[in-house]
Amino acid sequence: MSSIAIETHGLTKFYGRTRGCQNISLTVPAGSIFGFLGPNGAGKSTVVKLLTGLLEPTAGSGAIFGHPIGSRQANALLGFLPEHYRMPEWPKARDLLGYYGHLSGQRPDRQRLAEVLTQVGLLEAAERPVSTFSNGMRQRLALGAALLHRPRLLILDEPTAALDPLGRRFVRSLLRELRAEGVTIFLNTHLLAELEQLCDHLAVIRAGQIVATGSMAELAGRQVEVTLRAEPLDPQRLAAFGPVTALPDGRLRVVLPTSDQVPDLAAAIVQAGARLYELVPRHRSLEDLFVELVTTPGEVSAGG
Amino acid sequence: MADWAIVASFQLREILQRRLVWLLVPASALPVALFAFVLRAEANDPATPEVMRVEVLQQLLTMMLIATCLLISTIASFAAIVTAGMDAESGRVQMVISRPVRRQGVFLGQFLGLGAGVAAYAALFYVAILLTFGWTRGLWPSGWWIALPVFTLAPLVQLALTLWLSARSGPVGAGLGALLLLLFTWLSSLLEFAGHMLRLPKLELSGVMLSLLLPGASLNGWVTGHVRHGIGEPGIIQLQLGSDPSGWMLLYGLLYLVGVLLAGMAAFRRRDF
Repeated sequence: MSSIAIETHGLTKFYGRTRGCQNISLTVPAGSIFGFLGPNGAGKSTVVKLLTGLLEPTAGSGAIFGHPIGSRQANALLGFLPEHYRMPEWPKARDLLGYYGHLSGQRPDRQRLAEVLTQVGLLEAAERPVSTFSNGMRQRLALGAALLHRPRLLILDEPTAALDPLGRRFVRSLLRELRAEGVTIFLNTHLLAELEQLCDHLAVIRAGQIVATGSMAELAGRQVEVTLRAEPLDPQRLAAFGPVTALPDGRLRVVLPTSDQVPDLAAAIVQAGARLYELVPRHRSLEDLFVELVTTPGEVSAGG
Repeated sequence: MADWAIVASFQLREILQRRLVWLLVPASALPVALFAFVLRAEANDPATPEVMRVEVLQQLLTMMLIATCLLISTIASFAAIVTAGMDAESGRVQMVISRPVRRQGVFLGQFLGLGAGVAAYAALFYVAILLTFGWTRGLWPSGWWIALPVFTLAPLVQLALTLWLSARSGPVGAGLGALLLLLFTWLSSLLEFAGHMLRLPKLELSGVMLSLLLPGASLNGWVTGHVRHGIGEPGIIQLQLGSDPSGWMLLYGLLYLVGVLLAGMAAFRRRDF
């Protein structure tokens, strides 16, 4: 089996003349948790729907563990939790899971159904009709439906949207367990804290195009934002280290690719003949990265 | 178990879970009771000459079967819209077609599940009408049961058409389109009737051709013709109604149903969700 869970090349979708996404090229390593991030309307759901075969691409191609996206072979390997889903209200939770299991090409026995219901914390509600479920319970049941046939890839579109903090913690823990079992998880969420806690790799989409992709360490963890006060100093002398911004209070902010460059920056300031009064390094958060990527033009690629 | 069978079985069970369906059955007893009342009133009406009585009964039965067919066809369209059409809009179908299923199988399963419910309802209605007719007036149209499957075919065609349209557009547009086409073809049948009465062959032919756009009216015409002939020989009024659709219409109806289903399956397969 391929070590690449998802691979796309120039995946493009236009709705008439409106661009859903364009030239999406992604590589998701097997066994990882891959975060997919972008502002509202950026094209995240379009990409997710292309990967699950719900949309036909206008151009480009993609594969799930080597099988063309949208094919039955690819869909047999993935479990999907859509963002806007609705489930039949009348069946009991156990029966509904059984129905989805049959559609996934399996005949789930009572033991497997009980396993999944336990996994999503709904075993005690197994004999209750879905109509009596809260939103959070429905979300967990939908997650169970995605897990039932033991998929090798789980594509989750806003999986914790309807959950309270305890429910979110439960899902995070479940996703970590699944990763430990070797399941690849493609996670589309707005919740940056969740991505920071869970993801190994990340891609950021803006206006239908990927603007950053790489490992979390490369994209967010290693970058350091340094705030400094040094006089007299021409900010241009620090431009070689990274983007320099003059703050209103007279201090400067420099974004360094790695923390290894902090001593070099200090040395450069001193060599320039300036007196260094303050230098505060801070690792950049995912939120900082996200805000920068979706508000400034250009593309960042950290490989990976 | 094949995809279509899983979906069909689930869809049928879902229909049977709906309260509205169980309300529909007793509600349908109302027009049947009204029909029985009219039949009894006619029996006691001294104004009807005896020579015309069979013919009047034939016309009453014809009108009842036409009204019922229109009603069930409309219900079939609504059933398609509120189930399959809304499923696509609400995101429910995404939970199904993102699995390793054939989309064509899902579409076919939806039709078979809904169709089983619609056909059972139509058959029940037809049998209730004929039993009411027979018990009330002691007249049993010979071979009335032969027309039973044809009577159920017209609503099934309507169902398939609505599903096909909903695979191509939203449920509201599909419902409106299917119901407008139903209305148009029944009006075309009236055009055919008017052409016959006025002895205008071109108008009659136009009516025949236009009513082929949806064979529901023609299929129902075959049914009513069959049961009328099962009661007695054609009289003056029947001759004025024109000729009954031929057996070829049954073949056309079946081919139309298969064609619409194939077109629906192709549209569902290509559709973006």
